[in-house]
Amino acid sequence: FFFNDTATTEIYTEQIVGSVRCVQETGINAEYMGKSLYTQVKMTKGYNDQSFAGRVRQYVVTARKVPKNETDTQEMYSMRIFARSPIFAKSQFWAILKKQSKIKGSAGEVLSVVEVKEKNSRTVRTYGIILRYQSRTGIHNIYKEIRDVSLSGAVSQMYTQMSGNHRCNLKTIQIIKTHVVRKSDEYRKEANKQYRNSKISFPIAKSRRAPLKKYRTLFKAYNSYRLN
Amino acid sequence: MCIRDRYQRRVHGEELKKQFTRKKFSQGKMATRNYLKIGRVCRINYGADYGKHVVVLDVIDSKRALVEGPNDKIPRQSINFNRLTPMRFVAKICRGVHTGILKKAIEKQGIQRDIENSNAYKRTQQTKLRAGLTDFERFRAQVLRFRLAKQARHQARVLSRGGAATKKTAPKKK
Repeated sequence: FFFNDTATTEIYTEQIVGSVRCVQETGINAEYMGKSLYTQVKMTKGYNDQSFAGRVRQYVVTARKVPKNETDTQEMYSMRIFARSPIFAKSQFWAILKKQSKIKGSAGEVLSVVEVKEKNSRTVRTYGIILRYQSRTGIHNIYKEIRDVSLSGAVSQMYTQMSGNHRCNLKTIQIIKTHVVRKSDEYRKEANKQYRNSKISFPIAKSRRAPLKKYRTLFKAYNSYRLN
Repeated sequence: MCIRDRYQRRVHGEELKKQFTRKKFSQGKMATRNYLKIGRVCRINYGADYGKHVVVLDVIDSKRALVEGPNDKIPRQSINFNRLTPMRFVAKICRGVHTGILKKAIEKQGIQRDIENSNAYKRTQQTKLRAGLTDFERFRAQVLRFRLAKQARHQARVLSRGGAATKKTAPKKK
């Protein structure tokens, strides 16, 4: 069954007996299921860690309450989470699931955390994202239209925009729904429509800067900022 | 000369001759902007792929374009406008074409040739060449340069004394 709450992510549930592998996954592309029971997170040093990058990734986290014995059946919960790394994804998963059901992270086991990679990042799309965020004064729903090459890229942009415009960070944002805006009448923001133009033509500012970071200098030969 | 110029010359030959005697063109390049559009060939002016050329396939938003440079082995990616310098030629392609079609279009329209004839490319090649010279080669280049300069000074002296300038073939300079 589905939770039709306005402010939650879509949750799919399945009942399983014993082995995880004989589950029919509904709603999510089957190939993402069962890829790995536990994703090994490689701990890398410092800034190479993907959680340091601003980019948000899409994960499908599947978990259940720890079964008491061999014959105990526990419902499996699968959720689509946008997070910076698998660790954050799991954390967010339990935070949301705890609100939905009586299962805590400590009483549950994560069955798989699989990153959903963009199938086609070779075309530009406009993503419509409906989200709920907590401002200083209340909770609001917002619709954003973002142009990007992948969904995770669009969501990353969205988080940046939300933090810049509304002063809310990752934790106060819940993504309700994401979709691709295809038809021109489905667009709700005029600004994004202008890019749907094969004959688009505009000048860009000439960038005057050193070609590589190492050639940057503190003092420059020209007096002031020049466009040309 | 790029394909567009050749076409223009073929179709509008006589009118073009009048156009091209305008001050704007005869006094050398002004700060004319090459507009960014789909098919525009651009040079990457920052980062790891500095100096390589890409074709604009689509415009993502106000800051980024979707580009691909099959000749320079640049995979399809989004790139900031700040990193692009539009060149004078445009590839005739549709929005967001496949790599194969893009490759064919580049070949057919002679884009690579246009790139290699551009001043920026020639300059980068010369820079590369100079960076790879051995000390002896640099010395040799210096000798030839001094020789040329000597000839130029000689010619100047002859002209200032009222004599006729003799046409001497310059030795091959690297």
